[in-house]
Amino acid sequence: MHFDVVLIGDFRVPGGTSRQASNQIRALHSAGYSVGLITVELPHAKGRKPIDPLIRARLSMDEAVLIHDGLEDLSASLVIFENPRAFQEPPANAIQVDAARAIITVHFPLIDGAGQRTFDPEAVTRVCATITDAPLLWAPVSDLTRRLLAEGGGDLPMLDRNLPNIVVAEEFEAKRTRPVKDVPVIGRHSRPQPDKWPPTRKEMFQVYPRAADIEVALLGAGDNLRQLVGAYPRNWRTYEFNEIAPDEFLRGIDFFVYFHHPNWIEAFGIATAEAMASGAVAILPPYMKENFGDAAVYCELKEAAATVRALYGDWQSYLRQSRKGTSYVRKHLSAAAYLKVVEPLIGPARNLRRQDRTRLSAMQRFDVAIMADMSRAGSPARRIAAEVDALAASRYRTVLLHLPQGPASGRVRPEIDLLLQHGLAAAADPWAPTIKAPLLVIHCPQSLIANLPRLRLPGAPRHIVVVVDAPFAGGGQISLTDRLLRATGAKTVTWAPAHDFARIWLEERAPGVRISSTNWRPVTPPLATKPRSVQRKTPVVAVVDLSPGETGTGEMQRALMALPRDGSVSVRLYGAPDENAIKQLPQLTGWELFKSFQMDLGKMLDRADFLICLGGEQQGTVPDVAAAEAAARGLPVIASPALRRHFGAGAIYSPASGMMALVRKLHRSPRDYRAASKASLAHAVRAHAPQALRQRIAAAIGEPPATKAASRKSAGKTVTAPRVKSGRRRIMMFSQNGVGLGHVVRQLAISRHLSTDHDVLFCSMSQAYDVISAYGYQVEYLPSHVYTGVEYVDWHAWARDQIEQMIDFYDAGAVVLDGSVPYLGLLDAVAPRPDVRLVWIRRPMWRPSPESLLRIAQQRFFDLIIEPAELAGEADRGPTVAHRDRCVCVEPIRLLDERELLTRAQAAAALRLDPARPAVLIQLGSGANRDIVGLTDRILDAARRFDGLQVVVAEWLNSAEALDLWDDVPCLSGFPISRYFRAFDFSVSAAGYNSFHEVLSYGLPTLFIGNPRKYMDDQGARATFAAQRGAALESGTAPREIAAAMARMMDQDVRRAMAAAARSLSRPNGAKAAADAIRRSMSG
Amino acid sequence: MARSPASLGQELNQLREALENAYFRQRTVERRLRDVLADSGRAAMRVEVFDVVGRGPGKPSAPAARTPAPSPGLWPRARKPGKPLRPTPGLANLTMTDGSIPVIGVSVCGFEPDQLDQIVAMIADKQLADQDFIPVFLTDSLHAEIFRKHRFTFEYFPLSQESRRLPGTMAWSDYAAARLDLIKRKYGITRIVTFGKVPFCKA
Repeated sequence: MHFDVVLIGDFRVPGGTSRQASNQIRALHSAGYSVGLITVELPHAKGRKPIDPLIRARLSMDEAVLIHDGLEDLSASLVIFENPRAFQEPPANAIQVDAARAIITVHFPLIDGAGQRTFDPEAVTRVCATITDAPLLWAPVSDLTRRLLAEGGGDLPMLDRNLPNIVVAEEFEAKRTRPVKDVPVIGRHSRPQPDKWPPTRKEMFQVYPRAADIEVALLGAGDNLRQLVGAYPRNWRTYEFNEIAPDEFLRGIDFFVYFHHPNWIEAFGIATAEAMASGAVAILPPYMKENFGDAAVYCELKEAAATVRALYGDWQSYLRQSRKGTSYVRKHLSAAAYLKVVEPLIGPARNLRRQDRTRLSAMQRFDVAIMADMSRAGSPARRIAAEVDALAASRYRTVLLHLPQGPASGRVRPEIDLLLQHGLAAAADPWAPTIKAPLLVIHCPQSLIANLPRLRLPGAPRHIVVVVDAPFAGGGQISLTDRLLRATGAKTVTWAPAHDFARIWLEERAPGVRISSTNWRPVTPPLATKPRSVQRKTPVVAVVDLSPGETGTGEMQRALMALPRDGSVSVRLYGAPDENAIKQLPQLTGWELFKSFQMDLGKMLDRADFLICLGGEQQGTVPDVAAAEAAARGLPVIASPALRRHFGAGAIYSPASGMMALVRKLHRSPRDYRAASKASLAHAVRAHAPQALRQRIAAAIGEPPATKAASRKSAGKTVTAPRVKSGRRRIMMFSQNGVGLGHVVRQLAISRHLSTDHDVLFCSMSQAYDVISAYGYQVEYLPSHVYTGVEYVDWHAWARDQIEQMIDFYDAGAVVLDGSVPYLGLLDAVAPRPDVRLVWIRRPMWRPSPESLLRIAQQRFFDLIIEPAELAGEADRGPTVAHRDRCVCVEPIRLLDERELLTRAQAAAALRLDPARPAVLIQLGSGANRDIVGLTDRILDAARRFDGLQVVVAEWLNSAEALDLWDDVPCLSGFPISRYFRAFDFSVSAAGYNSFHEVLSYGLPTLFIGNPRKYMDDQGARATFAAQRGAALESGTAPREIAAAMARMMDQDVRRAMAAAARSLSRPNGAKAAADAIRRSMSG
Repeated sequence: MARSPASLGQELNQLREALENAYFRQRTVERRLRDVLADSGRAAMRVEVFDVVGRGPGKPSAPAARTPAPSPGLWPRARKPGKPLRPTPGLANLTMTDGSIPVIGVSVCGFEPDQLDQIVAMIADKQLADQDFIPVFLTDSLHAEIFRKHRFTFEYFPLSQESRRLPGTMAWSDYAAARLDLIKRKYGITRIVTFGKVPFCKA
């Protein structure tokens, strides 16, 4: 195994050395070198310890490889031994590296302040020689170290130039326009060992005085310091080593004052350099001038306090000195300065650089990367979807990085996936090195924290924003996460609470992290242009709980306590608890429960009149996303007073006990309701407009490149956003597998009107798909579970997948079910999708049954229910009657208008009938669930008794039976048979919806023999209704009854009266109105 | 009193057998009736009409292409796979309930109805004789009645240019491949026997 560089050292010890190693790895990696790490143990730090988190971060980012095995077969261009003290003894495991060159970095002075050697150069040279044959060069990090090495090490071969430490200045920089406080704040950070402090209590207080006019901050205090000074003075703030991050500490001091025990010699002073990078002015003992030159101020220990006061009093001098320090660090302690020394030792990394060139050419550049577990339901998914949409509208290029929180994470949420499908964002590997985006926004950081062991952020972001919308388990890891994020080289890492509760929680959990001053509020485009108006008799209130888990935030329980259960107000609860919890609920009349995976939130809100927010007392119960989306739709938001600090003017506040009175009051007054709706819309624009996000993003990374280019090209012209195409959406008719053709025929009737401005296609469970095709529509067939003989529970998942495939391919914007069964597969495929409307054409006249009630309950998933009128409506005793107020009611739907029927002469000629003789049409349906052969035979027996009567038997296109069984009776097969009605004087018919409405509307006298099957519509009631109105006759199936009825039908006067009565019942065709309702549903 | 599984299974088999026998009996009687009617010149007259009323759909629009799905590891879209379905073996073989009998795809595309009828009948005979497969017909035919009379499961996919009226968000060939994959998984089909020159779901 060959590496450009192999680093050997003890990478377990936290502090400056590991930080240096981390910085070296980063520099080498970014220069295109491959880096291998071998861990050895320092003599004073033996035992099992983890590798330092900063080094771990580099490893997880693939910037270096930790070499465990293959130690006997290693080669390298350069071996770097880190810290001579780690090589005074041979390593525990034999290491052999075939290297061209080797250096040993000397971070420590060979001679300490007491004149003692800190390591034995000869022993170190011998140990290193066992590891590699390459000649060893000593690489001091400073002039001081070089001098001490030369003085005490004999004639050690040294590098010509110092090997500089690396300080990533951006990690520490801070604004220094004014002092931190109204007194000088002096501080220092170091390890807590005794050598690092002045030797006596007196000297301690000379440097770090007990004084009211100076504040002292010490990072790295510990027992040694306590023993030295006793009780800490009041003007001291002390922190244990690593208690807070050094950069944060340094931003809180004006002066870095560093004096130590005379036994100690600072070989370089990493902490000092970091302080300089932060702009703090360093006050140091004179010997350190050898390292820092004029970048620091030097004085004796006892002069330190006076020096501080003098500079503090002359702030311009302070600033000049501060700038000297920062520029020194940038010039001499940068990665570039380091590489300038090591590159000649390693040589050019030709292969890697070629790879780099390839990589760079394949580099995908974006403006914003959004990282999250995209499978999480609830508010994160809503936020991300809205943000991506807003970013696309602003022309920012966005890449989505799906980071599953664990192996149990599921599929990407449909609202996010949709963005990808429409090209509003791209997706990339969260660890991809080929992604570049200056801003990384991390939502729901739980997944990031769960992935910390493999953290290696893509995109080289300059700015990282971590959005926290609720407290989460793992909050104790925030500080570590923050450190690791900063270690990636980002200029800023900001934690952005979504609301004040998240802010409070964040401040408590991670006081050291940088928290944005403003909340990262949800954005949403305006979803309504006009205020809403009262549309229903009963108000519909929505309650939303987007938090995952069985009980969420407890909004369900609060709703149960506060909202009526008697149906006086309709309650839609989104984010319902699991099945077991639902079973425990009391009887809830007028309540509809949705789990978040079952239904798109926006669709549910579209059909509500109010959003009720009952929580807000506890942290994490702020339904800000739901409130924003409701407001953008113009829904008045009624909230608990505890939410006032979050929603401000965006809600009407009431205690839970008064909410329903408020709902009823607003609902009773159309004017007040409209005003409340208008206020909601206005609030949405103020607080949640996409422009707010654009401003946040622009503040971080500037205007989107496309906008800049456009503005350069056409100064002053408005740039329109590249939104999703706004062309006409397609409509997919979903035809239930009825026993006849009723569903298909109604859908064809509506399609005739829709297809003038929409593409219509069919997913047909009916096998009459040939009819649909013949009418010119794209059609596919979905075999039903009944026909294929499979279990429904197994079938629906496949139906769902097949329907989804069709929706995606054809880009359907609405799916229109005609049938009485809202199949679970259909609901699963459509209801959760925000971009596809679900419409139910539900003809009435159902028979009451427990199954029908269950089917009715599924109506909650539909965006629109269209009920075609029933001429026998007053006889309707079915379960749909009670739900008519949520339907768009249209006139009866028929395929043909009467003018489209053939004349008697035309129809008779086509059917080879004599128009001068009486004729009867027998149309009993498909025979799928009834013995129509036997029944037809009985009718024919009766018909044969009348001389001259011409009889035709209609065979349905999807008939289960061939009806060409009687030699004296023609069998009519085809479509649409109603077009030929005028060839007949009367019909004998089943009383299905279509046949019933066709014969009555076209005035064809009819003898109804209803299909009595219990799962059919109530054909008996229809037949009786028509008979009672004199518009038809009704018969049972017994021969005698049929014969008697046929005899009456042969009476011309009876038929004439019947036709007149039927026409008096007739109503216009509702197909166009149904089409219009579907169109409105798609646009609204 | 609760029934034992053995007794229930026995009755189910008897019922299936009765249905099979009724199917064969009906088929024989019907064939005999038609023969007699035909031989005596008294076959029933069939009148077939079909009218397309109205103007029909206009010129289709083309939807914007959708971004192809990233790799599933990167961007998981698929749901948990469903349990493969075990379709009915057809009316003539209702007693073929052995769960180990494989489901075979039978691709029958590009045939006229008469030819298709013959092939399906041939497959039905083969199945009856061998009792070792359950067919799922894969077809581009609009004549569903050919499969329906045997109660054979079938899947339809438009293959001809005329039946592909609407352009989609991806190429029809890609859509066809995705559909074939779904159908295979849906029924656990491991083998497809292809009749004719046009395999199912090939553009």
